[in-house]
Amino acid sequence: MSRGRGLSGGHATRALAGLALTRAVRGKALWIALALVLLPLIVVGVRVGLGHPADEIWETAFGTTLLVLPVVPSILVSASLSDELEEKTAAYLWSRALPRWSIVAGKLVGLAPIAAVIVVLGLTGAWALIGGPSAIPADTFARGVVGMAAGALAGATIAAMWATIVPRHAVAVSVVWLLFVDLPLGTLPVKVHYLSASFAALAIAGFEATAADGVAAFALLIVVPTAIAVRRI
Amino acid sequence: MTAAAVKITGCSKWYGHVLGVSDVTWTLPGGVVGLLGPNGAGKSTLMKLMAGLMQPSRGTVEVLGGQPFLDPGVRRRIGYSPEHESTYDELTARELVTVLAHLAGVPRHEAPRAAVRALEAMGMGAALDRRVKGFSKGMRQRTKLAATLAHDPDLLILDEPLTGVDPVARAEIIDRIKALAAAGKTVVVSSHVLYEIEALTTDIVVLYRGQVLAEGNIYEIRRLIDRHPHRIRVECDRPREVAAAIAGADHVVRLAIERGAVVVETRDPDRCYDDLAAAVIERALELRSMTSPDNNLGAVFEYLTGDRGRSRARGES
Amino acid sequence: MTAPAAAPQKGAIYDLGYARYAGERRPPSTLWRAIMRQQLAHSWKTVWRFKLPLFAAIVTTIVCGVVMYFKQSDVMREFQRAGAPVSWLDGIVVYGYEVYRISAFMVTMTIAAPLVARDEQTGAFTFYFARPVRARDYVIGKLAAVAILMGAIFIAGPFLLAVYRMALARDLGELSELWPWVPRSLVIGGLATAAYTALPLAISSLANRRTLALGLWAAYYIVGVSMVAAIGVAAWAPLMAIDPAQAVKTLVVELFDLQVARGNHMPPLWAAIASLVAQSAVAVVILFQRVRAQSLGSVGGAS
Repeated sequence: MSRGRGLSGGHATRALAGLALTRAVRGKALWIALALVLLPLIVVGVRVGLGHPADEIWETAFGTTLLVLPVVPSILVSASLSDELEEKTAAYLWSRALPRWSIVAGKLVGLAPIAAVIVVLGLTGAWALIGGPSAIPADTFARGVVGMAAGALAGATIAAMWATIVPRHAVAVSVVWLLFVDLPLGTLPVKVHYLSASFAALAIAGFEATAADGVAAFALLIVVPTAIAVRRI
Repeated sequence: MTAAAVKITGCSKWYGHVLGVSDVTWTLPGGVVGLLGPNGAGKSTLMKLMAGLMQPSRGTVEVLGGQPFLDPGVRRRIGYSPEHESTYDELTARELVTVLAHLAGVPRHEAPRAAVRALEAMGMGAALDRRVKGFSKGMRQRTKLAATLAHDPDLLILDEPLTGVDPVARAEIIDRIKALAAAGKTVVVSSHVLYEIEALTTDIVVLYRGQVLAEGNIYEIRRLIDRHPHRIRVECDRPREVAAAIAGADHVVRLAIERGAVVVETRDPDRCYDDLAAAVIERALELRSMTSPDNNLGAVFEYLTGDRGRSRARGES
Repeated sequence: MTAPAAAPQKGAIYDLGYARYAGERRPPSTLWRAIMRQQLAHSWKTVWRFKLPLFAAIVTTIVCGVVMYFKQSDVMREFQRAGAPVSWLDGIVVYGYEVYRISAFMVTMTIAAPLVARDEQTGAFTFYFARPVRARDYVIGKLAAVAILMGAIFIAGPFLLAVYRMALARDLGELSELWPWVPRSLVIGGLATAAYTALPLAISSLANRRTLALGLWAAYYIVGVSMVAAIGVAAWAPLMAIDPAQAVKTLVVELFDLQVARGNHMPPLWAAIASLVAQSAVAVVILFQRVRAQSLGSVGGAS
């Protein structure tokens, strides 16, 4: 058994990601998130039943799934970090032989992809309900899925950032930011929209600006909030 | 020369306006030491500083030759058991201890075996695959201790490790801690149940309002508390004769006659024992018992923390 | 130190100096006030819980007041006489309510939604119901406290603006046109307060952990009712009123007869009122039932 050496950042991140994932699967937040992404399908189903044009319904599906973005990363990522402090289980992690930044990295690696998969599942279900490739071309669908996944990943890093800044009110502040600041920020016709996860999602999906703008916003939102979260931890 | 296990120099920690510990200087060479103090004395704060959970606001904390807050390698050699009982309830005992052992530096392929060993040592072998959520307090405590020991640390920091544990398990855990100390581990343990500390060690550190009030051997500290004379209770058939025999001695502070006994308060217990023995033999008294009700940790603790100020016993042993 | 006493005799009683409190005890029917006061004191701590949203509401009220004053100035009247479109300034009321709603939502996230769940999670129910506190005392106390906080946002600000607007009236004729603003602001504020108080508390009572309650409330408020409202846009307009935010906006636009802010996708006024009343009532029933179940069953907490 090695003595006097801590765990490497990579190994610690992997272990913590596995821990976060196990807890999420066995907890309730994941299932609430899954139930949430089914709700836009009801709206899509109603509009399909009413015979609305496919491209309009697709736009509605994307818009309503975008409403899920403030909630899913918050209840998965923010809550996970906030719970460690609230339930005092952070003491176990802080006293372990791992680099502290791996705590944030582990949560993000374990939970951010889950948030992305959940929203993608919802959007895929909507696409199937609308009529699949015969109603919405596959490339449009693919761009939408990539955009939504990017939005979810960016939302997750923002949620992690707020969890380290305001740990006691992490979920509340994260939801309020993503709903009342991020969404309106994304609609502004000035460069500040690069700070918006919803802008990144819409741009990559092809609804606004260019894909390059979306990718730039996504890159910024992955790097900056993660850096702040790692610094704050 | 072996470095001290713990070396704290001029350490203070405050939370906003609240002072956790104040200007603590203390060295622990090794062995088992009991950390005592009333609620709010700073025991948990000091333990968290030693475990690397936080940095001191001032001063230095050196554990096993390094700084625990900054160096994961030092934390690899520390096993910290926090006071609270919260854990990851969704996991089974095996999963919990395995992941915590791995995060403590045990290689991934060894962590499951280490976890099982530790859990079985804590008497949790039958509940390995049960979720922690359904555990009793005692089972949670034992699981927590298993997580603390699984990575074979050199320094154990145990904050109230016996809370909620049944008497049988308590005895087993005390034996286990003693065995670890005998094997060369350094153990710092805090408890409000003073006889548990007495069962583990005779070396204590008493904290009061964030400062070290006393440290060292219990009996030496007791001897040095000259503000509180020792009480010796002698039960015999003629207590008044005993009282009369030693009333004139200069070390006697007070005498109290009770039914079938005399209680002597003395500044020099060694001389007092000699005088009492001589008195009993001279007068052929029927001696039933001779005890010192306050030569124990409870009395020491009470004397030290009951006084509003620092004892002169600091640092002398 | 006193000498140890002799071994106690069988049946002995020792006077340890403890005397049972023999003074006046408040009747159980007033216990809700103690709960309410404690909750208000707790909510006032730190900046994030209530002070920040309240600050936002105060700033909104001041800005709206300034705009109102500006609109009543001689310069603006000249513009209006010249035909310039200045009536949009009355829409400041609607925009003001948008900010009040955001402030109120922040309060639901920091105080109301985690409240009952946190009491269950920490075992506080054990402390409440080991005392002569009844389920209804707890419910009334918590509702009253949160309602006071919400009322400070939804009622106080708009009421002050209504009174201020009347004070800016030039003549009795204008005053007689404006006096309905006061009762309207109270009606809108009251209904909004009821909904934003009862709904998050009810959802909080459905969860046994604080973060879960927050997630459920966010899911309901942001996604759940929005989806139903979106179906309403497509299928049946009154359904849109299920969204409390939409219902409040409808009340504001309709009761203040604001043509500028009237949109195509708005539920009818009756639906908005019915939705807020019904949701509040159902929420109170759910809250009471859940708390009562806690008080009668295994109480609370962390073990």
